[in-house]
Amino acid sequence: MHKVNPMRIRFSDLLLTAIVMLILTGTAGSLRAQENCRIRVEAILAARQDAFVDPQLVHHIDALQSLFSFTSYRLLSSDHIDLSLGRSQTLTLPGNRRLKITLQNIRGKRADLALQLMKERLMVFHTRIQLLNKGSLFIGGPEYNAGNLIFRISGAY
Amino acid sequence: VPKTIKNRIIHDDELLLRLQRGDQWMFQLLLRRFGRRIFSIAFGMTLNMEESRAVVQDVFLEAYRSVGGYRGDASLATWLQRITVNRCLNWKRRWIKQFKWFYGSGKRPFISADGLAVDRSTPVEPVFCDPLLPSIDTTLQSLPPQARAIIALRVLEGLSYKAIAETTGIRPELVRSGLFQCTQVPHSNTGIACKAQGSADPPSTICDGTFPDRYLAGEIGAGERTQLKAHLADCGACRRQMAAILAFFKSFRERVRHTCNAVDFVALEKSVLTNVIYQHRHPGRSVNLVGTLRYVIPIVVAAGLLILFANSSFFFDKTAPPSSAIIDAFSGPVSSVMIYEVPETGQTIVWFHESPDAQGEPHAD
Repeated sequence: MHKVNPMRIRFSDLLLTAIVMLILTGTAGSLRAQENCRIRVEAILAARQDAFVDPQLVHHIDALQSLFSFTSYRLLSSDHIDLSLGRSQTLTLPGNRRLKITLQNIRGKRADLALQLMKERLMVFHTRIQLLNKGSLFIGGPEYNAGNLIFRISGAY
Repeated sequence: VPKTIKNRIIHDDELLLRLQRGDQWMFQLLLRRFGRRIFSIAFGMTLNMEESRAVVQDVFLEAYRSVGGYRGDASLATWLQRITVNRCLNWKRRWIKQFKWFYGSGKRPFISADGLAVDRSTPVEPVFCDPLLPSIDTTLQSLPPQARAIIALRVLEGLSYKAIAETTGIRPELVRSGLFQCTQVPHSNTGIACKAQGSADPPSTICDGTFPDRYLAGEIGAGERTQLKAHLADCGACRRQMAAILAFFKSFRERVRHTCNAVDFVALEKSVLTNVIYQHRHPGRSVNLVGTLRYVIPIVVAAGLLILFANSSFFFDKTAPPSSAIIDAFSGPVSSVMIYEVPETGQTIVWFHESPDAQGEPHAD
């Protein structure tokens, strides 16, 4: 007669426990209230004078080349800030520009951010965005050193 | 078959012993010796040729697997009969479960000689159909499966009440009543009718009314057969009962024989042997696989469903990627602004031109 192998039962129990733990961990993580968000701002100089890709932009080059028709991309600055709810922080960007970021809210998979771009003491624009967790927004246009500046703003929490 | 065993009779005891030692040739001999008998019992119970073939496969595979642990407390034939009856009863249970609607509809199926159910209303008559067969089929189908087991063992294997009871696990008194139910002879009338007729048709021998009963029980010995014949010549009631019993037995035997003649037993043996050889080469493979899958499949399915529901957005949003950023508001002294979202990736881009004339508003900072 076929006997039930205790090892097999133990293995299946182990498997079941592991799966349940995995699910619980994932669920608990998603249910945990988020109050902090790490935001990274990268300033990229895009130009058409030469063909160059900054090695530090290797992870984003596919996205950049599919979105824009520039031939060279140089990373001018990269900053990250940790914001808590309701707090603001200002970053200095190339061309005497500053970007003020305010974390207004975090709802599900999106963080509500208020962005203010200033050139010297003049406000260039003000926008409110809902940034996807681990997503990014490209803001470009300002002319700088025979090219254009592109700001890549990404957030994760 | 090796020459050493070709020209001599191997008795069941020796066959069992050699089977337990792992002699492959003996299994072939077992199959040849009992294959037709097992099929007959299976068909007597299932009334379906294909299912009977499947039962034969199952019975011999089980015999092959468990012969090593068989203690030999019953004969080889009894052991195989027991496995067959159990298999058929299990099959019956599955059948009832799967085709309950068929029984529940009150529709009486017509079973052709090849074991396939055919609607009576169809104008096409089965090729092998014998006009006498439907009546015995109708009778058999109306019987419970245990009763069919009893009659198959009694008619085809010639077992007594006691042996049938041992093989099927049914109590002897139920076996007796089951047999009377099969033959449609009310057993309570046996003997009473005989005695009542005594004055009109006086028997030359003493009639105690137990001859038909004892005949059904398989207890009439060779010495009593002459006595039975003499009694039946005189006793009209017993004669009619015995005629009914024998007619039923004959119809049943003919029904099974008719089907067995249509079966290619060589092909069936070959098929069983192929399965057994596979079992021999891969011992326990299917059992372990089934045993493992029995636990793993439900766990994997349950886990998959849980993960799917827990991360439903991850799975379902694949078709339409979410926007990396949603622009709620945009204001400022810019000459133009374009907001674009790449459909394939959901990547959001804001492209603006600073107005050279725009002075902008001094910021409070």
